[in-house]
This record gives sequence, C-alpha cells and structure tokens, in this order.
Amino acid sequence: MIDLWVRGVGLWTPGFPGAEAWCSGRSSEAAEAPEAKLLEGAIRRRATGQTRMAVEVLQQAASDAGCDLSSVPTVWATAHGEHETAVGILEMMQCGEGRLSPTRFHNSVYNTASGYASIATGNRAPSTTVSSGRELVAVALLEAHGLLQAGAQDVIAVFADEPMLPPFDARGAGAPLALALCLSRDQAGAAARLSGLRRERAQPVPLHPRFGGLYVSAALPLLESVVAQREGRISLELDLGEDGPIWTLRLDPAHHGPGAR
Amino acid sequence: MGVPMTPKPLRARTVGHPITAWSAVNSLGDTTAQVLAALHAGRPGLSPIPDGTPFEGLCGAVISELPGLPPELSALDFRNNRIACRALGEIADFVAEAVARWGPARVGLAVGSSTTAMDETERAYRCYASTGALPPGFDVQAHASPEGMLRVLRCVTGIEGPGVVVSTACSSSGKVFGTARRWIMAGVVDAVLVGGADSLCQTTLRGFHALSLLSPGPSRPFSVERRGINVGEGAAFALVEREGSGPRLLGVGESSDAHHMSTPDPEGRGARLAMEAALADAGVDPADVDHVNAHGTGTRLNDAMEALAIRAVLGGASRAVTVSTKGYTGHTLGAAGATEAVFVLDALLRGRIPASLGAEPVDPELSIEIATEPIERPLRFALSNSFAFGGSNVSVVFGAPE
Repeated sequence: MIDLWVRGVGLWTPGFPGAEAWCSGRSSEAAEAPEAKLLEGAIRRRATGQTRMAVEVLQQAASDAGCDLSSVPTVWATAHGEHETAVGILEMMQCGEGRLSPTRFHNSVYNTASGYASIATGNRAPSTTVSSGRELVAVALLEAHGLLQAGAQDVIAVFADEPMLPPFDARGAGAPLALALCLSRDQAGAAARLSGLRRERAQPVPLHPRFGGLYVSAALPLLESVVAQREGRISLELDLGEDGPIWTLRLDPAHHGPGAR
Repeated sequence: MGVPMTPKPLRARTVGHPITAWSAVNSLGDTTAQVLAALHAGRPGLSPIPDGTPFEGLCGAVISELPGLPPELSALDFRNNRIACRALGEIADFVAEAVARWGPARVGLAVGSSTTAMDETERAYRCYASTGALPPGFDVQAHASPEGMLRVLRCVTGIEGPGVVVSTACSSSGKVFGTARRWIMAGVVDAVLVGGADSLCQTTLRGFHALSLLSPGPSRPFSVERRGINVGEGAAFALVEREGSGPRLLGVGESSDAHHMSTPDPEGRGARLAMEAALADAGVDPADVDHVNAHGTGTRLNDAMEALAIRAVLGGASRAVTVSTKGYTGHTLGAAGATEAVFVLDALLRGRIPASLGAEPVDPELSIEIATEPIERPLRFALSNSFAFGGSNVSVVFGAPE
C-alpha cells in the first residue's frame, strides 16, 4: 500500500526554525515564533501559533521541493485543531452575556490554517483537514496517497499540533510542533521513496521528552530519516503503552536529500 | 490560478461505487424512515433553541431521548456519539456483512464532524469555571475529540481499516465521499463507512449569531425573503463498497475559495470548480444532471453565489431541479454533507424530490429551477454540494442504481 516520493520537508518548533536545524540539533533563540511570511502583516499578527507554524512549514516544504503554492493540493493533519481559539471561546462564554467574537468563531475551525494559506496564495486546489488519534500520521499519508493516485502531481501534507492549555492539560505541557512533507508521484528531485504502508506488530515511536504524547510527533522519525537518508521500516505511531499492531512504512533514500539542490 | 486536480481516466468510470446502505437521524425523526417521511410531507423539524442561549430563535434539535452507549464506552457516552450510534444502529447489519465480506482491515472509516462533543467540553469548562476543576475523568484529548468519535465507531462496528475524521467545518461529511472514493480506487480498502455527526452546542449557536447569520424565523433557502440559517444537529452514514448494488457514488470534486474565512466568493468560483471537477470525475455530462441538493444555507450570499455557480456549470438548458433541505433540518454543519447525501440517495432510488421548504417567493435573481412542490419522476444523476468556512468546497455526484 502506497508508493510515493518525498520531494521536500519543513519543520518548526520553538528554537528550531527548520528541518535542518532540528536534525542537526542546532537550536536558535531567535526562533521563538514562526515567521509564516506567507501571511500578510495584519493576518499574521492576529493568527494563532497553530496557524502560523502550520503555514510556516507548508512554505518550507514547498520551497524545499520547488513546488507551486498557488496550485498544490494540501492535507492538514491535526489532533486538536485551533485549540487555543477554542479555549478562548469557552472563556468568552463565561463572561457577561457570553457573546462571541465572529472572527474568533470562524477561526476556531480545524481548517483555519488551510483557509488562510489558500487565501494567501490564491490556491483553489482541493485541501482537506484530517484528525484522528494515534494513527493521525498514517491516515494523513493515506489521504495524500489517494490524491496523488487520483491525478495530483504533488501534495503537501502538514502535521501540526500544540499542547493542551489549562485546564485540559492533564498530560503535562510540552512544546508545539509542525512538520510538512511535499509528496510526489514522480521520483524527479525526490529525497526518498515511501512504500509498503501497513499495519503490523512493530516497535512504536518512543515519546520524545520535548513533545510527550503529541500525536504529530510520531512523524519525526520519518522526517529525520528522509533528511539523514536512512533506509528502513519506520513506525508512524507513538508508544502510548497500548498493545496491538501499528502503522509502519518503508523508506528508501534517493541519495539527494532535501535542500541539496 | 490554481485548478483542482485533473482526474486520470478511469476504467468504467460511470459505474462508480455502489452505496449499499444508508441512514440518517436528525430533527425530522429518530429513524431514516421517519426523517424521509417528514421530508416528503413538507414537515420541518425546527424547535426553539435551547435554554441557556442568550438570544431566541429556532434550531433543528433531536428532541427524543437518545439511548446510552454500551458500558465499555461509558467514558465516551456523549450526545454527539449517541446521535451517531442511533443512526449507525439502523445499518449495523449491513456494516457487519461488509466487515465479514471484505475483512475488518479492508474496511475503512471516514467520517466528518465540526463539533464532535463540543457540548460536553462546554459543560466541563463551566464546571471548571465554577468549581476550579474539570468533572472527574473528563479528558478532552481521549474523549471529546475526533479521536473519541473514531473510538466509538470502531468499537460499535468492528472496523479495523484506516479511520479518519475529516474536519473542514460544514463540508466535512461531504468530503468523506472523496476519501472513500480515492481509498477504494487506490486499493487501500474495499469498503468505507462514511458519514458525519454534529450536535448542537453554544459555540456554534453563539458563533453564527455573532456573525449575524442566524435567521430570526425558519430558514428559507432560495427565497427572496431569506434571512439566514437555523443551526441543526444530526448524524448520517453511507456504506460505500467496491462491489454491490444500490445507487452509486460516481464522482467527487473539491476546491478552495481562496477568498475569505467565512464569506463565500460572491462570484462562486470555488463552488463552480468543485461541481465541474465532480462531473469530470464522474464522467457525467452537465446536461444529464437531474437534481441538485444545494448547500443552500438560506443566507443572502451563499444562495446567490451558489445559484450563479449552478447556472454556470449546468447551463441555461439544464433540466436540473435544485432543492435545499436545510429548511427542514436546519444546517447540521459537519453532518450536513452526509445527511443531504442520504436525501439524494433516496431521491435517486425512488424518483422523488422534496419541495425546497420556504423557498416561495423564490428570489427571481437566482434564475435556477427550484422545486417549490414535491416532484416525482425518474432521476439518473444528482449533485450534492457542501461549502464551508475556510472556503472549503465539495460537490458529490451520485447515480441511480443500474
């Protein structure tokens, strides 16, 4: 199941403004907020961290792959969507008459980042926003695979989530994380081939101390292996102490990494 | 300008994928039969919006008591999941047959929701605001989330294939037909249970009120007197299989408006692209479309831009009769796509189109044929449109059984 190529990558988490910085362990204090240069000034200033980091890694992956952001279909994967905005709305409803801000309301949908990215780039191509539990990374790849099989040349998959805010943060706070993969039907300019997506008994992805149970962090070994040009089977689900088969896939390097051009 | 992906030529593309079972529960009734009976009798399901809302109006609520979930799902026994399970229960035997026929890992789950259990999260937050603590055992990540909804549906159906919640606001459960079609065509699975569930909550009621989009009375899509939406709730499911008999899923078109977060492009360009892509994917000539179940929210802007797009795609000589069923159910948001797909499947199977409730006097500027009375006649091809915040558009083509 699935046969596709990775042509570009993107990553943002506080202190690490790109995939290369992350993979080489070079943190930068200047990178405390995502740039999200794609968004216009006023929209960028008002955008949530979730939207900004998602848009930031979208642009990184497109730039890495040389992919046209005004026409590429996109898949956005998030467990909790615009959590900060949703909690803000809950708080607003406790105050006075509990009236809501219309802008906050339309910015609370899971596809907020997708909407702003499409507006910023004039992109009218299909875009979907998916959510799931621990299989979030695998189902986003399956959506991208479906779009590629149906005729798209490239698809950018964006994975982004923030830790839960109080009082919903029972599992402890971690760091936000966004990463992106530009996936293609063709090998040209690709860094790696992904194939053999399946469910099997395998070692799940250990929880990263920085991200804890953040589902999107299950995509880190995949991204790191693309950058490091490391072949092998890769697990796509976090180790949450549950038993049972997990989604895995095979990665074969194409021997010219992202950013090599 | 971006364009939707060009579908590659398919073998036997007008055959599509059969939909072997479907169901819907909403303010019109507790069973699909009750829902369809009310629809064809011209009887809306609207009632006053719930207590605790700081304004008055109408909504499409599921009024009757909903059965609880099985004990093993007690932590997930929320209204949204109860509504979903009531709808799913009706077709449980068909789903079980599909799981047995294809194998549990070869059946996928693709459902749409915009709220999931938001009403529960609101209740939990009120508890936190007054007592300083969430209710014992409340876990928003595991329970009141898309993940929780999937957990319930997996447990109830035994489906072990990939499971996804599409959450693109009001296009969510229309877009799942695209996921199903692509997954079956790409060989990922042999069948997909698609659907959607959304439930009333203060966030959506107050949010649409803040946007000045709530109708003061019953929503009247396509009428010159239309003044907005009524928020509704409900769930609907459809079983899409690689083989079998029934009305067929023929094509899906998706697009983005690239215009504004909550206002549709007045030129209807995104809507037009979605319909064109759906018809191209289906291999259906626009002139052969008999029926459109419109997004038809009853807002000034949506209905005007959607009529413009329908005229542009289907042309002046079109025989297509357009209906909005949101005057009956209210706008069920994340469940609207699947709910209206069920109405279209019934229309194709039985050759009947419900009246577009409240449309008279029809807005003369729309210039499309609106069904102001119920129509009975054989139908071959129908479109179902869903548009959403973020400019997310989907159009789905269905065909009558062969």
